[in-house]
Amino acid sequence: MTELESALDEVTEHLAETMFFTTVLDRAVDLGGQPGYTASIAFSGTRAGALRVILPHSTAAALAVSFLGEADDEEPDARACALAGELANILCGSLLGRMEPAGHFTIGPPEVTSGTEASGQPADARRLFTLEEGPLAIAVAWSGQ
Amino acid sequence: MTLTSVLIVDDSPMMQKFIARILAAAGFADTRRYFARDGNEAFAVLSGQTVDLVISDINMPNLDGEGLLLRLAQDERLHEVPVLMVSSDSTQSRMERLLEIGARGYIAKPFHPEDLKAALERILEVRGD
Repeated sequence: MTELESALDEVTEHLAETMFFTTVLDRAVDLGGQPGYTASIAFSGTRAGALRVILPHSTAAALAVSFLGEADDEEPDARACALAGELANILCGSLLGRMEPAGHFTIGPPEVTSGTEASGQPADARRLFTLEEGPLAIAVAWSGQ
Repeated sequence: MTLTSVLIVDDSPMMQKFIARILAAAGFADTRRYFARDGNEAFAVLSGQTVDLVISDINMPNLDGEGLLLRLAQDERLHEVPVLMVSSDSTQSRMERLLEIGARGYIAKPFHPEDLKAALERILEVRGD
């Protein structure tokens, strides 16, 4: 396992446990061909690149409930979409802080699109997880290397 | 330890709700909560309301968290309002910079709810509550 893959595992497990009150059950799954979201976030600075979070609607919706608790009057789809962006944002910052603790970064806003096709795009590291809420894929691509 | 009112500044409504949820779970369910999506909105809220604490993200459009801190530091009425920064940027350099320009605390996401509670308690204890 590369340093980047190991760091992705660690930040994902930490995020799942601390802010979603859930656990990573497994690391060897696919997304099951379900419709879903891709949240992309670009970063620049000490290192530049992009991080993508790809997850089915069902995973995003379940994680949104874990994140916010039961009561919320927002549209479930909008909430799941926002959840995907928030996941990408937190994972990106956490990953960069772990890889380059003395680094300087500018992290862009997350862009969330429908579809999970991006899970097959080239990346320097790609990890697949099964959370209690369902599958989740994370990919990181450095640029300029 | 009292926290009568708090201003939560984050461009993500989802993160605003999460922090409000954790505050309630931490024993601050009765705390009056105000929300802003960036530093400019935060300043507008603070111009009309008195709050005990500001909890702010860093990366936001228009006026970001660092800009908000600098602007508060220059304001005669608001320069003593404590600000707790909550951000996904966990680099040491960013943390040191924000504490240097006046943040009373810094929590990197992801954080455990207990971390937020502990940071609040540290700030409120320093304030003398």
